[in-house]
Amino acid sequence: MPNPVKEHGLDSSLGELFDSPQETNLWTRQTCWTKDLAQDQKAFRINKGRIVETYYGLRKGTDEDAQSDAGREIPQMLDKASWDAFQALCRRHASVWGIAEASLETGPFPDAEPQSCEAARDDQPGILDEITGEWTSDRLADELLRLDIENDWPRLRELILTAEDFDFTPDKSAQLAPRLLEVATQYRESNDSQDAPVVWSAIRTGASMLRPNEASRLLALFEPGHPIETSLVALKMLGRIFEAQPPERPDQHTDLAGEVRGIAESLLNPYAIASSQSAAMAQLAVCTLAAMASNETLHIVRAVRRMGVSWFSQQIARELRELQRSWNARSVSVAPEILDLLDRAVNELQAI
Amino acid sequence: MPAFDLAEHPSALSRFDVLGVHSEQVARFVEHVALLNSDNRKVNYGDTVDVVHMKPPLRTDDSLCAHVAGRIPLTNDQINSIKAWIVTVDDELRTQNARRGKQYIIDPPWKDICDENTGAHRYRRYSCAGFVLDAHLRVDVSLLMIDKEALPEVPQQTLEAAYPGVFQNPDLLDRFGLQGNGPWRVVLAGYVLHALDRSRDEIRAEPYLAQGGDELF
Repeated sequence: MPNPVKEHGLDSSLGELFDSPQETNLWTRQTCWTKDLAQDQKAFRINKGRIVETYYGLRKGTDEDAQSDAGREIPQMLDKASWDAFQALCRRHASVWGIAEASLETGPFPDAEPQSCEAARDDQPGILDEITGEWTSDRLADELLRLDIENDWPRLRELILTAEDFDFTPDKSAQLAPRLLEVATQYRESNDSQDAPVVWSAIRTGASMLRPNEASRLLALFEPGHPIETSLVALKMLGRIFEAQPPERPDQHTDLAGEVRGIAESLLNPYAIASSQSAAMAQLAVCTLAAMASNETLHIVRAVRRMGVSWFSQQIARELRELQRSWNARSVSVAPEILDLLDRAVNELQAI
Repeated sequence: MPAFDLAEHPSALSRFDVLGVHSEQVARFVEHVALLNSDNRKVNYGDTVDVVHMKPPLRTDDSLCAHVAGRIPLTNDQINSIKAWIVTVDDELRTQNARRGKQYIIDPPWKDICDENTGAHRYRRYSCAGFVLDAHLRVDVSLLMIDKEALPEVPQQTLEAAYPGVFQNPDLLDRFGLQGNGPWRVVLAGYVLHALDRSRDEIRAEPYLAQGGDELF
């Protein structure tokens, strides 16, 4: 059994062979692909849940009949596209094929020397739906809630990225939202460049699950002194909460709106707006205030006008019109006084 | 000339002008479009230039070899608006670096991923052409008619030139939005160049109606 091949252990030629667009048409099968790299080498690419994993197989031994059986049976078994089937395949043909893992796209490789394909992974059996080979949302949610934030961080990091594409039940969402925001708060200062995108993903997914009366859970992410990108994502998602679930009346969330107004006022000056990041933050703050139907909106919009930066004023006007279109298209009606407030804000900017 | 082959017309281009890349397999087939991410750059055919594009994933610090280009051109105000917009969506798209195909979509040219219970928008998936088109929409420039009925039918052979290998994976086809056996009405990168190959007044007057064969430029 050859040693497992770690990502950084692959030489560039092999890595390129796996991913070269010119070679993609050499992959066969549908959900579990095989490719002959050489006479005694095969690559296997299998859907494992929401992750595609690549395995590198090295033929060993000289038993021609055994090799012929394996060569015929491997593609057939792999067609089942399940992790259990693949493990069974490895055990059955261990004398013929040494199947190693070439983790080109997945997380860190286990430290233990694998004795078989089963030992090569520390994933828990039974998580996968054996019919579809995919996560179920309940299982994914349970795993996200079960894993320890610090001790299981590499695994948790993968699953957070996976979760952004899933829909969860209201019950699971109610548990996941605070969990994801807790993760984001804990890792926002991480120096690992791989963590920042995961933090943002956790904010987006967790925040998208919140009801308006829970939106204050995002307040901790607005604290100054932390990476501004984190606050920008949190601010953006606050606006999206209310865009999707409009307030019932103006000034329904005054404390939260007060925080957002503070962000807007700190950035609404021509010097700050000259930076694209500050301009984006200011834009999000103004539009979020409008989405929250805060009565501070008109005051802030007038401050935008006073700045005299035409492109910025036009940008805000454009985003507020988009919010109008979004609310007008909703099947659930928005309170007339809220629509009127938004209308006045748009008119204030269009008068420029 | 609004849109052109850089081999015939090497040109000085501005930030967020559109660049196109020809396929190596099919002559004049535009397989990718991107936004130039530098100011006042003289670009010749085959030059490596800085771009922001949906590769995938979205890359704001990438480069490519340019073969064709198109421009409106954009005003400084519009450039500043697009810059700020890219910052607001950068987090969504950089997150998907580990899952290159996850944020990509062929049909429609962009699609919002939302929470099923609340309707809150999490992130937007794009094709390369969709990203360029949406960037222009941010400054009220509607380059292309993207309603399905307005798009020409595209057979599998043409899509295979744009997306080699995708048709061997039904799961990937489904994720990218291609159902059935075709032909499909999808936005191809070449359509963006044709949309730009009009006068500024024509571009601002109405979005371009793509025709069969516009995948070539």
